[in-house]
Amino acid sequence: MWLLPFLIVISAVALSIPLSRYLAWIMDGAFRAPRALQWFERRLDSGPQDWKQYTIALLVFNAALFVYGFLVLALQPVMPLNPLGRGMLAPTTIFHSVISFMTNTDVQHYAGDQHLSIFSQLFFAIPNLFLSAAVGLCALTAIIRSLRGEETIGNFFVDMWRVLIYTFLPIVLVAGIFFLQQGMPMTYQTAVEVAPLETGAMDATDKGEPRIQQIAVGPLAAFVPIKMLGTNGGGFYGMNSAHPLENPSAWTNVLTTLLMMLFPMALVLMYGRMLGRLRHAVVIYCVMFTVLVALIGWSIYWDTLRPNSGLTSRAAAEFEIPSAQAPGGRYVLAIPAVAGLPVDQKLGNLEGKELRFGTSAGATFAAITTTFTCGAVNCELDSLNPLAALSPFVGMWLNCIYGGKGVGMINLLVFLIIGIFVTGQMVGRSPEYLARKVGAREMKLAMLALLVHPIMILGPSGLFAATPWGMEAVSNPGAHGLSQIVFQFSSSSANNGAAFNGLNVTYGFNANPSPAPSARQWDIAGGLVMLFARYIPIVAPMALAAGLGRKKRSPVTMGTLRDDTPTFGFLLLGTILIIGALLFLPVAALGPLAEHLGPIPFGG
Amino acid sequence: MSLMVWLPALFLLGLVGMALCLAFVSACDKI
Repeated sequence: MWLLPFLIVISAVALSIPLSRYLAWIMDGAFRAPRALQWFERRLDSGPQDWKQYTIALLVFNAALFVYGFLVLALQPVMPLNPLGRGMLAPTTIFHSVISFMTNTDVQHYAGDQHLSIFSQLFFAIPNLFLSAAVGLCALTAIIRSLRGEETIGNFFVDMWRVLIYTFLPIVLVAGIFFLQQGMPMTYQTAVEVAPLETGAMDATDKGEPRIQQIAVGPLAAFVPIKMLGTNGGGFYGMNSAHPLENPSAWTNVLTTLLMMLFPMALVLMYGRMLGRLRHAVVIYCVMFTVLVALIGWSIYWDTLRPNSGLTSRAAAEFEIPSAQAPGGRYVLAIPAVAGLPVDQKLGNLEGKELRFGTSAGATFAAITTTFTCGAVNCELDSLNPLAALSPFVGMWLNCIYGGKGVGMINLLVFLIIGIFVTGQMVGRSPEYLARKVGAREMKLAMLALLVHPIMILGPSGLFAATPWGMEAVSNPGAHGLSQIVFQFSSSSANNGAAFNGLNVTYGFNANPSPAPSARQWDIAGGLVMLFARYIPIVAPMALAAGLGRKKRSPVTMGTLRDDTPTFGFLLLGTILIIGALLFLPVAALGPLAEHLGPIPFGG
Repeated sequence: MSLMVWLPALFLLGLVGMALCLAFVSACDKI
């Protein structure tokens, strides 16, 4: 049970160290590429950029991605590689999906295998998986150069090229070949037909003949490696990594988990290497590692080592459900089967789990995918025990425990600046980071970057929870329903992409006669949340780093707060936990905690 | 959903969102 998470975490740590060295080498421009590749690099190099030019290039590039993605999806019905004749998605779903993939979030209000053609998977989804992932890494590199005091911080397009060609592509190729060997499909076919083992299992045709089963396939071995390496998480199938063709074996499960951890972990060390402050980065790495291990341990303890509370601890035949419509404010729900079910629960909560990966694989993956803002899932997050579900929530709320590629470290930098500022105020010294004074401007920008995230989660969650938009979408009443709403906006704001499921938000094709009642509102609100929660926390820290880097270095004295000691690590950890608790403990109390402590199972 | 209304409206909404982010760059520069 503990062997799987232990092996995954230790392997990720071991691989992140050499990878960080390689990344620093590439991003510092020390790598001499072959001539043909240098030629492309020179064509892309529009000259050195200051922070503002770099940031504008980044945003304009993303705006171009929006236009491109919108066109590809809007033209899906008339494009080739569409043998099953997939129609046009609803305009709001196109809006949501394009922003979702462009911002590296990959929340899906559709099922890839049912709603996208092979053309859309190849020319919309896969390019976005590469490009959106590279953007965060470039932003972090630019921030590091600013903090080094460089006036010009490289060129955005050259950095994108380096990330894509010299880092992503080789790893994706190797992983793709391994996945092929493990049984992952790689084909332009849309579906294969198979005869079920049990004749008639798929029902009968109009002529009374046994129906043949159609299994959707496609270029999965090209899709899945970058889906995981780029911490994208959007699934080829609606079931994501729980699907036997998207995650065929225990080995692919281990490798996909490792892939999503690699870059975020290595980038923390790259930060230290490029700044020449490796010890400082190691302290940050250890703080993140401590929280990561705690989150994995928490979710395994409350899910794999505990029975499904709906079946045991609340085992009763009748439940009183609060309801405004019922006389007396409550109605009695009889579930006689629950109390008497002969379920052996010694292996923990097995509801919604893929047992072919092992009993703890679901809980481990759930904690990691949300901490690293990947969002792929190999189990049903909605079926986690309430307290176990707190782990994915916390990962997304803090959004700085390794986090997504580059952006996780950028978010950590915001916490770090705030921690240093508060400490400076407490001891009566001017706060300093990297020997430069942290002033009012830096704090204003840090607060802007910090507060966007909770505002984008709590504001829309409150709005949807208080209106029919949310109440029509949730599949459970009470605390669990609130968790479903909050999870959706947490996942969108953290650019994570994981889904709690059970939330009815799909419009699907525009011709769909019975879409989810509030699908339009969910699509538009989710799209805007992803957009602002992606770019504001990138732009503000870039401005912060540029301003800080321009300041004169202060001499290091006995009173200088050292940033490479365990004390600093505790300071950083305390800052993250206190700010995180202040922002999100109330909503945690109303959601997962209330569900755990409440008298009714299934989130009643 | 009427494609003639919703498609251009949401396309514009996305571009306006990106434009706001670009304006935010200038705002940050002035802080």
